[in-house]
Amino acid sequence: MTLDDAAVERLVDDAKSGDPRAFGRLFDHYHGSVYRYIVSRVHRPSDAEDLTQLVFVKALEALPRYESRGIPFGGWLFRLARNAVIDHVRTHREHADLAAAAERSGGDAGPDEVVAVRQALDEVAAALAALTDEQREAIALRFFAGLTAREAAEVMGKQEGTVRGLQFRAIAAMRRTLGIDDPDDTVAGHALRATEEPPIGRPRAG
Amino acid sequence: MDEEYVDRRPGDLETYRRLDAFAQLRLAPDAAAMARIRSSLVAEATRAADVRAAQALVAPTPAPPAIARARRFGLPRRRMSRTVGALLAATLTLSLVAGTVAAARAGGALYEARLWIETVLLPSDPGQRADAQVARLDERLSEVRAAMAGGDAGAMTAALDAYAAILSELESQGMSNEAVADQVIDDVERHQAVLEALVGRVPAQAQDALRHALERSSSAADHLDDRGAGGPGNPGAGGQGSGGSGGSGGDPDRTPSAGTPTAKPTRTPKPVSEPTAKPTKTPPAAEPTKKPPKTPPPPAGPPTEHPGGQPQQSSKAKPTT
Repeated sequence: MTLDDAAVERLVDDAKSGDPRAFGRLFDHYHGSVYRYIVSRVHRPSDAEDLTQLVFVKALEALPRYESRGIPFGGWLFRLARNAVIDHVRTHREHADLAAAAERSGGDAGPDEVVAVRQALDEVAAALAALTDEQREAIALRFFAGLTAREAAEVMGKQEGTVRGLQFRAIAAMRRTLGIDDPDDTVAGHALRATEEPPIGRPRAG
Repeated sequence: MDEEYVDRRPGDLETYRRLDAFAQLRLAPDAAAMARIRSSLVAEATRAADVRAAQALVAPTPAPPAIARARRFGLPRRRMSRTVGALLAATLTLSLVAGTVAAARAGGALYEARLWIETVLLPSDPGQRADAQVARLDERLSEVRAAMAGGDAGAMTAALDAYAAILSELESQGMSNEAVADQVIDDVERHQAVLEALVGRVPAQAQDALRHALERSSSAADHLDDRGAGGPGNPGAGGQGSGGSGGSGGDPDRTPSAGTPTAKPTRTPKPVSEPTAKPTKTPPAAEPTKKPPKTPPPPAGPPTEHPGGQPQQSSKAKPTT
């Protein structure tokens, strides 16, 4: 579901004035990116589902007091998500571990392809796990949540340039870990290309 | 744009692509779970909107702006009366419309009908039904507050009776989902606090209804609690002893840990009627008094007893079981 900023603001106004359907549409618009961000930061999909719900419940409770003031609704929502993740990790004394992310494989692929895809995904998970926490968060916000660099910077409470730097170093580190020099020659590259769908995590401009 | 990162080094695009694949295949939300979350959020948003609307209905209305301005600036009497006349005419017109609404308010002629319609329109899904019932309870409490503010004992009694009736419906309703039961218990406990604050302040005619509503809320919370928490692991109100496999022993508070929910202590209904008299202070029999008493000291004998014949007890309530 795609909405421009003006449409989002209209929905926020409607939801603030007590329109439950408007809040439902905001959920439709944001739940995927919020969930992907959260699940990339916590252990289990079930935890991520609970935290996604918690984030939206908090948003609903705080919505009457929400005022844009230069921070778009998405940025505000992801701040709630980030705080929820931090609380969760602190409570559970766990480290965010992408290697334990959902065990989902590539749909209709045959057994050999499934194994290859799973292996490729495991490599990506391992490469992500090897990043610093800040680099991982920058990647999660930019690629999995699809935020702009500015939005990610607002959520992380950092300068935009800092977030770009974190992303740059993270990508460089992942490239080294994954051994990506000539992607056409790698087995993992072929396996994942076979499952390719339109990108959802490619960072947006900004 | 981030093309600077895309194009700067060979292999960046491939890394981006793998991250995309990872997001799509491993981080995708479960559609059924998201639909369930959405449904409960929209229900919660609806409930919040209803509560806000009910609160807005009973909020004290300020003086009409024209009158307030006239008072502030001391407008000529004739001009002010023209303004007031126009306002009265508008009010009369509005009152025709508002009459129906007023009749449907607590204690009004259409109140019973309104409650019946509310019951008929309840959703069939147990979770949504429980949410809707809690919203109705909230609304009844708002009506009680409004009646209290207006000093309308009849409306207060009607709203309290309706509150108790809804609780009975809620109690008899199936509550298979523990999370929903917990939420309902929280809401009912919140209501209890509001009702308890009214004790001693409501008019005499509404005392019985308030007592009944409090008893019903206490009983409903206990009933739901028993269902939700299950038998073993209930640590008891005093927090003594081990809670078994489900409870955490001495701490009766809820712990936020996700794995093992702590069983809640049983609530004891608080007294509804007049506040009890302060316990009579009894001098300890064994301790020697430092100052000589003004009256002749009683002859040595058994410890002092309460006028009722029972030995004086501590004013602290015993832990209930």
